[in-house]
Amino acid sequence: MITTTSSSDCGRFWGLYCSTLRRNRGYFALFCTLMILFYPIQYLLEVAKAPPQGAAYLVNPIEYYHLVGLGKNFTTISTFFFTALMLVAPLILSLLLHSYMHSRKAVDVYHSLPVTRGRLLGVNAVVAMSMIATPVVISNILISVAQVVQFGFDSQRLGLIWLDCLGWLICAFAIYTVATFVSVCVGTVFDTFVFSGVLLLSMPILLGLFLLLGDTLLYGWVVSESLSYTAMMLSPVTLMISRFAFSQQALTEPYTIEGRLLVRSNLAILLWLVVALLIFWAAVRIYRVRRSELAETTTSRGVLQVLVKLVGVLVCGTLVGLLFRAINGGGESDFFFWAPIVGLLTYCIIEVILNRGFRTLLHSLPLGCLMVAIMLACPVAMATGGLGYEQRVPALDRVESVEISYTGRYGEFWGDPVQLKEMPLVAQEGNQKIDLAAINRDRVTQRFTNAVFSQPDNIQTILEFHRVAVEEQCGRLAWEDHNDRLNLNVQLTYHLKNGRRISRSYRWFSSANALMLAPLEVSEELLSQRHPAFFDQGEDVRAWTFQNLYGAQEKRTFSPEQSQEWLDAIREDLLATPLEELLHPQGQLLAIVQFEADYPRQARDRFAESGWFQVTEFTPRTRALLEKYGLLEAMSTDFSLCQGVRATVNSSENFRNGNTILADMQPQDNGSYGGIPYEEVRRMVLEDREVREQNPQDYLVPNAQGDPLTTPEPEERYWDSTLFEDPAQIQLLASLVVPCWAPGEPVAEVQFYFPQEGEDPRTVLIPLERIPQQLRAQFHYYQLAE
Amino acid sequence: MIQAENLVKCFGDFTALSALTANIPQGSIYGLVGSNGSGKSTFLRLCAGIYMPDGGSIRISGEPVYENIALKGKIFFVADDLYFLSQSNLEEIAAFYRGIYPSFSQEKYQKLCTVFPLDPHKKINTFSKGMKRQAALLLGLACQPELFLLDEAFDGLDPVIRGAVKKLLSDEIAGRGMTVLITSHNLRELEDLCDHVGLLHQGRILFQREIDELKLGFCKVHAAFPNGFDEQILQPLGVLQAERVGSLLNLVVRGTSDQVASYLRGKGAVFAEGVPLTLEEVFIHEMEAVGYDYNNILF
Repeated sequence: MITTTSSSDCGRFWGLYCSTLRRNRGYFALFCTLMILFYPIQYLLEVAKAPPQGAAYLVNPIEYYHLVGLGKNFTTISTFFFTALMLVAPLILSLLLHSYMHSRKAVDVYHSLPVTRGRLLGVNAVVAMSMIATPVVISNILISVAQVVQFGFDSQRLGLIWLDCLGWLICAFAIYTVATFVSVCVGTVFDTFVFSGVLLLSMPILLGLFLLLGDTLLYGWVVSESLSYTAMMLSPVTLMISRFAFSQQALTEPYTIEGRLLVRSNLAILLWLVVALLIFWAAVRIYRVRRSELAETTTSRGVLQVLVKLVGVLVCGTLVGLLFRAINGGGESDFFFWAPIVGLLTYCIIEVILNRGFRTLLHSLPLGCLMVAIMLACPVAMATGGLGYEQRVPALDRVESVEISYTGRYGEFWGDPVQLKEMPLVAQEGNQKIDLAAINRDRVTQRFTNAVFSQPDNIQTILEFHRVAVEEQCGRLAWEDHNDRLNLNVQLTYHLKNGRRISRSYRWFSSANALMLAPLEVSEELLSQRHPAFFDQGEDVRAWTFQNLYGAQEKRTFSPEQSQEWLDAIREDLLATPLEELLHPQGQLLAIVQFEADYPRQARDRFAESGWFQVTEFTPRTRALLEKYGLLEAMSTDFSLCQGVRATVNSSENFRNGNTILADMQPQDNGSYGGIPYEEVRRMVLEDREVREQNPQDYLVPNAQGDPLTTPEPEERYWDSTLFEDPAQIQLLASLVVPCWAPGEPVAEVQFYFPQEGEDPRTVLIPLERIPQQLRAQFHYYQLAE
Repeated sequence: MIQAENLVKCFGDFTALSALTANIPQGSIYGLVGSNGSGKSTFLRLCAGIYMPDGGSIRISGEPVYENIALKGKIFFVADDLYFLSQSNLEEIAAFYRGIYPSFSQEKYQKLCTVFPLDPHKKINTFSKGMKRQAALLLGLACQPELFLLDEAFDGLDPVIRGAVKKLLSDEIAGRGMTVLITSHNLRELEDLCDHVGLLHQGRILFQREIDELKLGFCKVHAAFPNGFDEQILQPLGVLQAERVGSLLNLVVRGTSDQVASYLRGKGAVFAEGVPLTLEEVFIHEMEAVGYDYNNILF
């Protein structure tokens, strides 16, 4: 009697599933081991560490552990290994499970089985995803439990852990389906690997190259954060990696750029699920009619091969072109010489590899030339102005507001102003010292790195500055063609009335061009956003420091009311200072006022930890306060004690600090001869002169004196240190010191030496045009032999 | 059982089967012979639903076979170049087939395991070529297919196993009416087994016949004429081949050996005796009869 087993569709699927899973149990065990070892175990080891002192007083103790990811479920090590596992596993599994398609012997067995090809693919996909998902889900359960036990139940964090888990699984599925699609289209495992890699990575790589090209060839090009993230979302390989970069701010502030990008990232995960399902559906459709005899044949024709060659030409040609441009420094000509050569060479190499020989090379060369032409189209457009991109400056009536990274002379001292969100402080228990400032820093929701202008006159100032900048294109000039240029990091974003934005970024400007931004320095719009006197309050201020330029320093503590009085005075003086007083000041510097502030306990739209201000004879309110609190006398200097002055000639550029066009004297500037007594400095200066005079063969002029403003400026001339010891001259020079000055004008760098021990004489600024001619004529210089 | 009409299969520029028409009856053991590259394996793969025809049609029991799961459940294909699931032993592969083939018989599998000297728990990739062939045949027979497709089925089998396989196939045909389509280069191998043979050449079936019918049409006769003979006496016999060595005459002629021997004795032969033709000889002469040059066609 013959007994037979029945095989229903379901049973057949299950049988095939179990059999496939059983045959791949080795890989499954390996994947599980690696996953558990490098993901939950790493997490448990991290959270098992003893919490640091004071962590108990924190609202969010988890912040003190080195945990990464929106759900705080990765350690630094697990970030790397988990990512690697989740990206490599689906690709390897797809190659393994579909390798039968690429073996004639195996395809005879599989394709003669009473199983539809669609079901074969379906079973393999379910097996692959079971093998990937099982250890990932178990790991996430372990981590969730550990997190709840250690840090308490936090629904948002747990939700994010599982959202990320879903995202990783979808991306793994997408990688698997792309490799599956390629498997059914080609005949060898090697081709599957190569083509899958190209399909998975081509979009972010090409978009990245586009951004790199724009940054290199297009004047004013801005690589937007949004576009960079979008590039990462274009591939399942990079999508989840990009989510490691999101901070907690993305969650709490959904309307910020980061918040919007996180929403876009979540949508991208969903989109990739749909795309992956569509790719899988297409793979099944193609597989149904796939010719079994394709096994072990190379992919010598078809869309995929053309795509691989095109991507290869685009990537290699562009990258090597840019590399040669950077190495040789020959500019665009280097790029346009090397990019087509390397592009064509890449085409030939890929053609030979994919066709396993040179047989088809000559015949397909026209296609290679076409691809090289496609590769050059974008760089050519960029190098010739980007189809009007470089010259585009909007009209005033189209602009709603301008956001600019120019922050002015007060803009970059001890960090940027911040916005604070409301958050209750944790009560201090016992006598344990807690870093309240560190806790309050967690409350920052926004750091104001830019200033926003919406008043028409300020917008007009920026537009005119921008027009000249694109006209001159100073950044493209060689250094020897334009040694008057000035380095300023300016990024502009015009918010247009039609809702669109125009962003540009520039680094180099002529001094005259940069000077066009000067009116912003005295505009209330800029000051109210950047100077802390406009948003810090008297009760915030912890300490005040008063200093002059010659070593006198006084620390004071004022009541909140007194501090508020100072802040009010600073604010009024700032608003009353005319532009000319900044560019060519007449008032002498009396003191530099500094204050330090504690983080406020309430929410605040804007706050800064510190601020400073120059008190001159032309800032009456603050001058009056100096007098009122007896500080004016403390800041005065007896120049009869000065032993000598060392002076040399330089550019006012050396006195520019931060992102401002003005050269000015800021607090805490150190001298270059730190701690060396005047006698020693004097000896060194005189010795240098003597050495030059004893070796005249090396110099065209070993030592001479001349007026820097009238002496011609030959090549290889260097201004030497000049010493002034006559008390009258010292007194005169001291009266010429300015608090700030316009850019691009020659100045004297001057140091006044007093007999105090260990004091660093500050380098102060005296415009050459202010120094009388008879003193200027004493400046020493030497000239090297050619 | 198998009806192929104007079947065409191409591999790039090469046409493996060109307008092949064949009809293989159910319950038969059909031997397919042909030179290398004549399209035998391609035809088998088309029958198994591995390849999709480029033209014409192939039907099994009146249905197209490609992606026809119900039909493929009744077909088992043993390829010439064998493949087994990686890292598996016979037991595991049997379990795999058990879940897929509706007619798989565990009882028969266990019985066959006693016939073939194979260790079911040993990895198949450690087997020799002949053992792998035995394993493939064992699994195929356990699946109890209605159509058993064998490509070079006896390649690597020792004579004992070869005999056992023939016996098993005969039993299956007798017991269940299984149809066997078998390809081989070895005509002597097929001679004992097949009841039908077809000759495939350049992608076409040159002819197909029942073996008995094929053999009955020809005979080979040895005769001795010590005193010589007049060649005119051979005229009525329809001689396909004549060879004279001294007084000995070897003839291949149309008709039965008894009639020819009797005729030759009547014409003075002291000795005349019919000898059975091998299938190879039948084919050679049949081919020559249809105008093909033996040297260019076979083996």
